[in-house]
Amino acid sequence: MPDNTIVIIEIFSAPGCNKCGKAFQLVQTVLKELGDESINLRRINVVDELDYAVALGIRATPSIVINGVLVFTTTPDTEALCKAILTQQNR
Amino acid sequence: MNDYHIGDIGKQLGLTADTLRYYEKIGLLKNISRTASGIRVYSDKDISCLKFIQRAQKMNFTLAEIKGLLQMREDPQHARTEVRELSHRKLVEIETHLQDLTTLRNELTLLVNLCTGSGEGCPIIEGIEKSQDT
Repeated sequence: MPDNTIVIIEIFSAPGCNKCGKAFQLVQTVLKELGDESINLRRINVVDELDYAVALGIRATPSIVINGVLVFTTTPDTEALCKAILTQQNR
Repeated sequence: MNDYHIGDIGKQLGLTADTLRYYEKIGLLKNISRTASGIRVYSDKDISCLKFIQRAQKMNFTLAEIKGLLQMREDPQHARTEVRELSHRKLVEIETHLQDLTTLRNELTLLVNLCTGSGEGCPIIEGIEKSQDT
């Protein structure tokens, strides 16, 4: 497994979306546990980047995109999130 | 096989008697049957043709274009080259329109879902304002 494979995680949230904050916190916690600096996290307000969100297939928030692929359409559990990140790293 | 009078078509498709007579005059509708007393009688096939005309008009096709497309619809195997080309051009237009509609639908779906789940007003308004700014 190449150690320097960059993983970009994008969390799509919206104003007033309570679940979005929780999803963001979950991802932050998981990234801290993984301790991998090659993983970049970005939080995106869908209203600011509507075209991009729609092109990715996002229909609700929170949604989590990993390396340009819509992976979660709701807040995942820790295990599923870790697995998805590691899968992308191994590609 | 059903028969329809002008009034029936008005109720079913919202077309006026004048419109139906005009379509016949310019050749969009052909071979409309008449009763012994001269009253026009429309068939299921005519209704189908009229529905096609209405759909094409919603796509902003001109009546001249629709007339060409109806020839293609009537006898696709023997349609003239220009009619075939017109049909192909219109098909491309429809495909593009469909893609635009799909994108719009997806965008609105997202915005409506945001509204449903939002406790701080409706992001649809914000989204529309932003798209108008760009």
